[in-house]
Amino acid sequence: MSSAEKGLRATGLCREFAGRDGSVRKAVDGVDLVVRPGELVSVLGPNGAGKTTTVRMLTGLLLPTSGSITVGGYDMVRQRRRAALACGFSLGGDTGLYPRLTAQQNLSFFGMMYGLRGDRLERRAARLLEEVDLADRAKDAVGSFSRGMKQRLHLARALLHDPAVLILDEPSAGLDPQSAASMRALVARLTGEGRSILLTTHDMREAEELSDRIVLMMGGRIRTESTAADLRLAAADRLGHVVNVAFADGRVPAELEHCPGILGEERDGGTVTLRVTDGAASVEWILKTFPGRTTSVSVTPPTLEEVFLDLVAAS
Amino acid sequence: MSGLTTDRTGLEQPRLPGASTLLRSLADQLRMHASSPMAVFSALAMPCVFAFVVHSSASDRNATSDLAVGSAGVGMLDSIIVLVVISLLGEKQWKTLYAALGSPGGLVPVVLGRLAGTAVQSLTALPGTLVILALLFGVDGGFDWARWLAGGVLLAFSTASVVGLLGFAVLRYPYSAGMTNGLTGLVMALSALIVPQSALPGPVQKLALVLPQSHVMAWVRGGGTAEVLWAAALTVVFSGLVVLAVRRLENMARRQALPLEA
Ligand SMILES: Nc1ncnc2c1ncn2[C@@H]1O[C@H](COP(=O)(O)OP(=O)(O)OP(=O)(O)O)[C@@H](O)[C@H]1O
Ligand SMILES: [Mg+2]
Repeated sequence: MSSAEKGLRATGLCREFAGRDGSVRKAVDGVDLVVRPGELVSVLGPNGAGKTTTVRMLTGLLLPTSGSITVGGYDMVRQRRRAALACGFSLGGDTGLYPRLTAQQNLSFFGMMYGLRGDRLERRAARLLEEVDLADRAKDAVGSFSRGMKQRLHLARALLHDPAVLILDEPSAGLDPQSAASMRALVARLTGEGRSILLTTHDMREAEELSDRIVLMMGGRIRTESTAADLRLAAADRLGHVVNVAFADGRVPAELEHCPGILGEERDGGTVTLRVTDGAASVEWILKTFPGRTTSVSVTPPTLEEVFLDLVAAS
Repeated sequence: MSGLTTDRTGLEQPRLPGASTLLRSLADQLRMHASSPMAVFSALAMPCVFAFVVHSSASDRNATSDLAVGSAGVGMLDSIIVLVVISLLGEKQWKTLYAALGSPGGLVPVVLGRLAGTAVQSLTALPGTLVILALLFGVDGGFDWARWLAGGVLLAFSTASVVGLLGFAVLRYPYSAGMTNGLTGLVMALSALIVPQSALPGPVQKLALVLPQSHVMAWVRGGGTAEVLWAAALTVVFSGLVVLAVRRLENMARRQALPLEA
């Protein structure tokens, strides 16, 4: 078995939904995905792109209309039990947990569904509660938990049976910045353990910080797939670079507007942010035109958010 | 860090995960719903009112075991219907069934565990009704304690197996209160909980034979062992139908995206 087969693989994944009027809508249309062991892939895409539908198929909650899925080497349709055992998932959100049971009781119920029991289950649950920072609330009813706490408990639940593949639908949706950061830190710690992780998100920073690769979905198809850095670099040809320049005397010279390929500028005291078509050429021109007058010059490609908005607008 | 890291020692090979999930689901059903005032009320108040009405028109003034079981049966029926609706609507509202749907064992062990839990909880009707009947009328000298206990327990589980089919409707369709209206009365009449089966009108008598509760009651009223076997066999058949119904729900959820949420 090759290592990709042990991770997560989807080939030609399609899912149609029948409308009430008998019409058929394609929510997912020919998606190919591979998440190798030890890799984290984020799926981005506008609302209705088909991310959740894809996740529901990958986790065995929804049958594909066509295409195949293997999880941990097992076919999700024909070997569902084994594939399910290799798969941990969280659909996140405020629901999906028993509000009247404690965090510990929730985990031991879900653990039993995966064949865990007895002392080992209790120990595993206790340790995961510690890891997601809920040990002190283990005996409290989940109904009293904040959204961030529930989201962390979801993650612990998905990890109970130590799955080879972990699939998370919007793990940080609805979290405040601090909770989102702690969720990111948790997920970051899960990478590099040989697990294949796939997550969907609307948070560009989360995607950029965590992912080995980013998949951008639109209209049920994969529009593009690459590392965050490559996506940004590739988009620089269309969107231009951002050049930040700081001037020693605290004054931005007027001649700067003659910088070749300039698309726009924004001044703030002695610093200026330029958007230019060719970053390297502009930097060269600035250094030659204002010798010794700059304290720092930096070039950055467009942000992931700009890339995302551009690609969505283009289609 | 250790808890998140790969820890194969924490993972046992699943031996019959279904059975332990079912038992755990039963226990959690009691944890979550045993104190439901609605269910406790219907398991105690309903049967006592019935017993009182039946008894006041009878010549024999003592509580007999068949009256005690039959009227407890009315309470069990009512509380099981209430609990099945409350518990499965809870699952829909909390969207908790997706975890089960994605797990190796699927929905069956979880839903069967919930149903078994409702049967266990409905057992409160048994001693509850007896105490009140004894206080009102005194206990008959020939009270058959063994039949009272065995019949009562069998009645709870056979009732849960029949009402389990209602679970399918609760999960399949958007719930409306009208869905369960009259169900208690219908099943109560068909399974001859209060009046003997021979007192039912002809065509209904035959229909009643399909329900395991009728056979339990026939046994409690002095019938032979064959009635117990019939009751047990029909309970197994109804449980099988419930399993098929839940499997069908699973298929509908996976194939047609039937929402398991409210
Ligand atoms: N059960 C369903 N029945 C009919 N159509 C559905 C169903 N589930 C999803 N869809 C449709 O499939 C498309 C993709 O939806 P999906 O939920 O996968 O998008 P998403 O990328 O997760 O969006 P979001 O970012 O809002 O979560 C949408 O047009 C949606 O209306
Ligand atoms: Mg979604």
